Amino acid sequence: MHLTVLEITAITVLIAHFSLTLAYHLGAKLRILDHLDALSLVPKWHFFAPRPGMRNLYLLYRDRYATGDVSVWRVLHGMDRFRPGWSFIWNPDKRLRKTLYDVLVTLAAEDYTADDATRRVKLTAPYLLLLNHVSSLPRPDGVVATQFLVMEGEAGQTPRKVFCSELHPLCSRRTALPSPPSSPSC
Amino acid sequence: MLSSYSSTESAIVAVLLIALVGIVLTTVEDLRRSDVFSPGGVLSWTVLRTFGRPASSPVLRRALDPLFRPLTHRRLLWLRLVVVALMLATLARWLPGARWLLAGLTLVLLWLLLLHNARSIFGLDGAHHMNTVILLAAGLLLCTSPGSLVAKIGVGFIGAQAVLAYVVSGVAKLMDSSWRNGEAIAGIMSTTTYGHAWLGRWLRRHPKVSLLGCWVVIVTECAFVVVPFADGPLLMVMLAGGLLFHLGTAVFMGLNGFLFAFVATYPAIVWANYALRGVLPWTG
Repeated sequence: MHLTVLEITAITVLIAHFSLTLAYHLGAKLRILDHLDALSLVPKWHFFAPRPGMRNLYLLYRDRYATGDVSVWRVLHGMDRFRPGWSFIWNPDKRLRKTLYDVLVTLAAEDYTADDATRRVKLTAPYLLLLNHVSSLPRPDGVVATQFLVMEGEAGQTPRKVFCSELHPLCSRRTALPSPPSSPSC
Repeated sequence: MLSSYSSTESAIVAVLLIALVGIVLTTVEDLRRSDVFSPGGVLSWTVLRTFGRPASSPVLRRALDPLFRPLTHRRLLWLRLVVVALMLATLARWLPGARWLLAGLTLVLLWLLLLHNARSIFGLDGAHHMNTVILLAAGLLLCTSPGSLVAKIGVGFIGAQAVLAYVVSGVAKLMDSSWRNGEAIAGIMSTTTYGHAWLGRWLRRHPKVSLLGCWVVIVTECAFVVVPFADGPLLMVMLAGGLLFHLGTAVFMGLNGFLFAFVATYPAIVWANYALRGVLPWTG
């Protein structure tokens, strides 16, 4: 059987992809898997396992006004509510909820016992994504700073705090500036 | 009905038709919530470009920056819909039978999906991964002749990835105590992200049902390892069970994309079963 270069390349790609997927799930430690995983090119097939997410995660934020008053904590994106009944057909919030879940789980998994934990976490993608997002929300005039809070809890139980950011000043264009924070007071 | 997918051509056409419906649905959903990808959204490129590969590669950053501007991103989502429409037209033979055209469109669609991988690993799900698997195999095999070795390996690859997905998922659940003791399904159904208010409450009141449900999922997923070798009736039962499972996750967990992405692999599984049983001496 004579194979063209194109056919050999195609066969190689498919066999390699499957082999690497299998190797990943068998726990193989290969450098190429790390490179491919950085772009999530190796499919992860262990859905809701081995540790299924059985706790609710909530993202809240509050603002501080120029007067010194602080707003109440507000839950973002209806994370305390179940999906509407028609979401099995039309679920436009699917991406948002999955992204928030991934980001909050990653943030919650950080080690906060180390001395430099807070400084280190503030430089991570999840923290900055959440800070940027919260800072970009429409808000009334007079707000000078904002902070966000991540909570988790099982159904029927009072949620507990997982992580609370520091207060970050907002500039006139509603974006946070990297200046020394106020006390967290969470 | 199973013999309908005895050729690689009929199998891959069926795979693509089903998968494309799911891709259209997800794309329209992303267009509806394109604010997620805006500079102030949770997938803000303004932030993401400062991490990972884009942060260490100015060349990559310069290549991706124009693609992830909000307006361009929306246009690329619309481009996905245009590409899918052209693929459907080609598959339905409204356009001249252009195998190379279909191959090119499939690879373009794969590239458009992989842009999300380049942006961030956050927000990706199993349906996205399976769609990229399907498009990769379809794009490559459509570059070769019908019934070629590449076509057989391509369709077999889709079927193999699907079987691997079910088995890996089943084994991973078997290794976890919350799945073995029945807490997992009731727990997941009680969450607002993937749960269902009524079903979550009902399962917490009926833990034995949750236990049964957990073991049905574990056993069925692990049993998918025999699907490539199963005889006709057993194969139909397993695939029907898979379809019901994905319908259930769509209804109760909102995973509508999974329904199309995974059921799309079933014609490939049937083809692989047909091919293997024609070769292996101990099968019928």
